[in-house]
Amino acid sequence: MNELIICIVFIPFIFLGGNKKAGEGPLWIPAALALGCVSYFVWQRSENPLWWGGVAAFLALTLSEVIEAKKLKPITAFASLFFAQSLISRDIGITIICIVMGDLFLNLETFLAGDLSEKNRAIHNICRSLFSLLPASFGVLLHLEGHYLILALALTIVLRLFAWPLPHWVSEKETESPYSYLLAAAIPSFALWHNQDFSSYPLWALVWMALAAVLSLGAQYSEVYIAMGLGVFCISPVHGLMAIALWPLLLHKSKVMYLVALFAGIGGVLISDFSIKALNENAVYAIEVLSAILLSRPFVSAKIIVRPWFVDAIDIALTALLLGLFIFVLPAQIPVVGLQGIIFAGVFLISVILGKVLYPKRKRFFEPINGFTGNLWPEIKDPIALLQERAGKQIDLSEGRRLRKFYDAIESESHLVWLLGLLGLALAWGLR
Amino acid sequence: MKFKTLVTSLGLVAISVAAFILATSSRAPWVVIGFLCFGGILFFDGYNQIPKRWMNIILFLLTYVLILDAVLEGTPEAFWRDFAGALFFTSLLFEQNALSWSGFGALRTTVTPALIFFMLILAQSIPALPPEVNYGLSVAALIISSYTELFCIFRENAAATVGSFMSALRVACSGLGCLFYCSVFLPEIARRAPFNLMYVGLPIFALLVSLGAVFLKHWRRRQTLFFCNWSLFIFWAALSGESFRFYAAIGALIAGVWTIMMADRDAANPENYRELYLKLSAWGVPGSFLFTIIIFALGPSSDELVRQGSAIWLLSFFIYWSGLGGFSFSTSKTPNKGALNGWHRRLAFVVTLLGASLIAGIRILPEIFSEVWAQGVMK
Repeated sequence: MNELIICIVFIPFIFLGGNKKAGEGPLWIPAALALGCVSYFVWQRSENPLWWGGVAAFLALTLSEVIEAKKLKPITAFASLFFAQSLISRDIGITIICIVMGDLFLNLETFLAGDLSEKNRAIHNICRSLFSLLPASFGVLLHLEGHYLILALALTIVLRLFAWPLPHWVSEKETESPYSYLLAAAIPSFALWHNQDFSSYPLWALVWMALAAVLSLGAQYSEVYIAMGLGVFCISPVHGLMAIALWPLLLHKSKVMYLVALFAGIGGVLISDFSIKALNENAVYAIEVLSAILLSRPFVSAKIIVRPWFVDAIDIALTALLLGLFIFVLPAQIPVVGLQGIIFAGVFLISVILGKVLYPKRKRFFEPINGFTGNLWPEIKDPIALLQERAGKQIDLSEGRRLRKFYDAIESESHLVWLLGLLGLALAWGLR
Repeated sequence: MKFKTLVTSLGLVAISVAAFILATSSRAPWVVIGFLCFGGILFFDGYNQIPKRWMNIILFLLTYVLILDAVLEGTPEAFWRDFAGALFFTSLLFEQNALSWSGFGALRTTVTPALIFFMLILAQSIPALPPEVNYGLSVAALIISSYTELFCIFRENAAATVGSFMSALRVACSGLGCLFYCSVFLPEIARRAPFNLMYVGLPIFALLVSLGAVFLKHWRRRQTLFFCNWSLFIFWAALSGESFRFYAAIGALIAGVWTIMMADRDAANPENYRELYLKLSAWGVPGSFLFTIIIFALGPSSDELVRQGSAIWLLSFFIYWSGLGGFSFSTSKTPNKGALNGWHRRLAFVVTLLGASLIAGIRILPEIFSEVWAQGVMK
């Protein structure tokens, strides 16, 4: 009953406060309530770190953003509530619904804060965010299992995670401080993925690595890292959980991103070493060398933002705390790195170092390739003739005067209505 | 105008009370559902369309009487007869309130589908007709009733009927008829092959209609087709034979009828958040009452065909939602008339919000929602 009261109290605030400028007024009250609800759910799921680990990482991410921006948009806080719930949910159907609602609030934030073009974009985004969730929704509705379900989820994750080659619905403006992007991309990806049991499907670790490598031609380092994290999750949920401890470092393109590069390399090593179980040994070497070269690109070409060392230190401290927490609750075994892993690590490291040296001189090699920038939902300019909206032919009443009078009488709206009404009643009576 | 509204309201209440007294205990809920639909139409009639003419009031009340009569009947023949009468009066209301139009009359008037409906019912009375044919005719009649407005969509002024009380009345009649038929008179063969293919056939038909809607330039015409599909959605959900989906269909009927009346007809104004919210809600986008109902109606099922049907329905709805991808607000400042800023709008806003908040409950009581969601699987 208490939970119901919380629901009744804070839901109206979301919409009734819609006219308030973001960050003002009583919206802080429901934002605080939202945080309380998240804590309550986490407490409910406290028995399994796999369920609350994602929320812990997400809260650390939020804390980092609040410290950096010194404000938290209340409607985004509501979006966070849904995304947090999607992390806790064990049912993919409910996870998808939570993500849909979270997206809706992010779009509401865009709508309220922006000018007319941003308002238009907020409306377009509803369609685009729904589009990204279609594959997973089909998977749930059709009760797909095994590889088919995983494929449906992976498709949704790719559509939500990568801003290349198709643009992400979170705009570039927001990616300057990509908290909204991480809310919309990283958290739903992990929420959809961590419900699956990958013990019988080792191939998917390699699939994520290959996808990350190919899409790294235009993708950002945070996208590549998250994809690699999902791949590591397929090998071991414990390692996957530790990978998400680095989320706070993805927020800002500061020097600490090289820590992310380090962990991406470690992820690659794990996947490379593991991939021999899924693929032919000879093929593995070629794939991992190529992947290592490609994966290093986003880390080399990312534009670094200079931040005071103590601000960076906060992110590092948050990440260290999370990692420590996860290692404490989930004692992870350190995997033995084989030959494949060493080769990957070597190529990745050399590529990053070489890239840093070559980048200023040979930009082209490490520059991201431009993605598709056209309108994803083109207006149909030439509707097929059958469906054209036209007035139709005018009835020609040029015959004799009497006939015209008769037609006029028949066609008079009120007469026609009464005639038809009488006919209807007669038919109804006849049926009786 | 107030006098006419009062007369209509009193008439509605008197008919409802009389029907409730006459109804047996098993039929009383149908009277309540009918009252919720028709009461909603009258309640949310912000443009005062019904009390505009005495003829509208009379036909509105007559339609209500006939549809209540239909759900109180004991035999299918009597049910079809009353249902046909209600549909006929609804089509008359369309013509009564339509702006002038040109073209080939028979193909552009809503009376045509009403007549086809009559003929399909009359055909059922042919002696020694096999039950399969009889059922096929019933399904055809119900589909025709769902797509009545399709016949007037190519008129010059078809936009005037979108969001009108006639449109809501049609959805109410068609929905109540479908639900009642599926609940009381549905023959056993409906769940067997080849008729169980309807679980997929109906959504495919709706998908084709929604694909056709993409080619229409005017969003109001698209919305007409959206609500025609919504009627078919109600029929499909009721036909599936699963209790939770049937209750979702009842919710879909009430939500659909109310939503038609709640959305205004003015151009979208980014400054007026509430109107915009109601406008978007009329498409069943997330955060709306209709979306909540979609979620409940597309719940998991143990039947493979129903599952496939659910997926096709989702695709069909998405095709309508994809229309938002090309949306843009008008840059010219159109002053808001303010005609709909009264209590109708505020009430509509609260109702839509509460309907949408049903979904919000999933994060408060996830276990309960999981049970509801998983019912189909556990069966």
